[in-house]
Amino acid sequence: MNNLHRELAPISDEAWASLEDEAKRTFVRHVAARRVVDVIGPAGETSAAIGTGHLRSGTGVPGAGDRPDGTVQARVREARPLVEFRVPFTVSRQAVDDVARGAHDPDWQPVKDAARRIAFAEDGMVFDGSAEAGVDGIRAATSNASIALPGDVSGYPNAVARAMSALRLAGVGGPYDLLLSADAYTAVAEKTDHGYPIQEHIARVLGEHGHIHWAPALSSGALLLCTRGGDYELYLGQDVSIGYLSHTDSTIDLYFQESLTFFVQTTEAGVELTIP
Amino acid sequence: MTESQPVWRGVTESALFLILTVRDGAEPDVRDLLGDVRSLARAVGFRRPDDELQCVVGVGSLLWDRMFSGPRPAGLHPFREITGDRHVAVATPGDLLFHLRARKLDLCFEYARQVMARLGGRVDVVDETHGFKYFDERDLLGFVDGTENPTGSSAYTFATIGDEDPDFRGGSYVIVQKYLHDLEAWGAITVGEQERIIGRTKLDDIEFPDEEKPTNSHVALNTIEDADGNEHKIIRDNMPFGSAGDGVFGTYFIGYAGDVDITEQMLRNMFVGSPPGNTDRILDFSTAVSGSLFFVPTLDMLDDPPPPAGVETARVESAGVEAVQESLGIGSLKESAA
Repeated sequence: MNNLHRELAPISDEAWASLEDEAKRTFVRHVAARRVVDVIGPAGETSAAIGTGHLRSGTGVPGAGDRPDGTVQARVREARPLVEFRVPFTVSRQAVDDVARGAHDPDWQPVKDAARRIAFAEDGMVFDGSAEAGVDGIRAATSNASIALPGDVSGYPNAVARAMSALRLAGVGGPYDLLLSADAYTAVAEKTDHGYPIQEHIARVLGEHGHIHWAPALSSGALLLCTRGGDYELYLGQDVSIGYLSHTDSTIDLYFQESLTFFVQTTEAGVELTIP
Repeated sequence: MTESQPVWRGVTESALFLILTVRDGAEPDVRDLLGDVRSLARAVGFRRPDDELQCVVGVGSLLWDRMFSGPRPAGLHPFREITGDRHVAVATPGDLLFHLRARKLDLCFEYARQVMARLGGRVDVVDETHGFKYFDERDLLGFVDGTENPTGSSAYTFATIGDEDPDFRGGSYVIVQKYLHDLEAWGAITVGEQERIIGRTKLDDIEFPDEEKPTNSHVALNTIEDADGNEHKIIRDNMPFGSAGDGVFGTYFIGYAGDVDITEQMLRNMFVGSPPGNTDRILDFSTAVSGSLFFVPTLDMLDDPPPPAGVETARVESAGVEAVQESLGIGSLKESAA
């Protein structure tokens, strides 16, 4: 079934295409987690939870707990519920209709803002987790001690090298990707060391299979992650979609929506680099 | 108040019968045209209002299912071939019938021309027959035809669907057949014999009293009475047609009825016989070469037709496709996964 009700929106096919292009472009630009973790799915709108494969004892289950002789054992299978993110936004009907009139520069600013927000929400789930959803983010889950980034950006390559060593010592092979918060990324991109760009320096440290990513959803610092696969899994129920809420004679209310949950399968596969 | 198409308008000097089959994919064009049937009649007819152009359009069973969803007229089905021991009422294709009537043929012709201009290349013409009035309402057998047509309000009752099929109240069913006459054989028998075949006198068109009317006469077999003795009629507007050069002499039978069973019962009486074997003697001199059945929607239904066929299934299918495509489809952005 289709819960997005897009066919009810007073939006032409051309305008939908233009709006979606802009949404996709903006989302992809801002989202970072999908570049480094495994994405599984989308499983479909009907999926509500992902099984963890684990059991917990179910002594509280009627019929089990009150039999101390142990003739009946109950165990509950664990699942992690999907979290649904929704970001409403409003576009003007003028912008929408301009597209059908041939405009190639419609005003999609509300779309961009909302796309950025849902990208941040997704990345936030991956990096920081959510207690209510039972998700441990990469930062909270990592079993490696965090490494402090020096005040001087010239020291960043050295810090990254130490973080890589920590991962290797924990038995996690490469390749490794570095996620930089917006501030750290800017600092790295601006700085040179005796004329040699720090960014290039870090890339050399990461090796030919490693990458540096701009991760604006990270509040500060950086994350070094192993991208060999199997360590971090982002489950999608519904991939990012645009749905329709309502409209007036001048505006259309739409929303971004996705459902997901996140698993850290290997706690030692990431290191946080913090700015003290 | 539902407004019916002018099915019982009465005999006219000229008529044009156009039967079309609709090619696959042309259903939307036909739907459009049906909505314009009235305005086209006004446009053509207003050029000479005194000549009273009238158009009746009928939709065949197969086309109905292709074009419309929802309930269908109870009596609508493809024309069923009626096979007796000696005579056969053949069934021939037909998706659309245009029955065009006016005092002058040029108005009918112009209407048909406009229809073909609209639908050209998307329909195939099964038959086009130009009928003419032959002296005082006579057929080419020389007898007056259509005398027993009901008139006035009883005409409306007989011609249109009533409360028995409320969704289609005011609509009608029409059966058309082309008959070709063997005038040579017909001319070889005496007028007295001809009159006994028809059941009426030839010159002054007086029906024989029941006791003198042979049971295999045309009039006797086409008089349908129910168990209570009520006579059930249909509205005919037969027209002679022919080609003197090719020796083609025919009668185009067209019968409108609110209850299509009546028309079919008449045909069974004629072709199978009543009782079986007692067939209409007119068929010894006439051969049916076509036969089609159409539903005649009300004018209101032409203006506001039932939803197109396939809408519901199409919606389900597209929903299935969209459910997959409606997300932005971003998926993984990992370079190694790409």
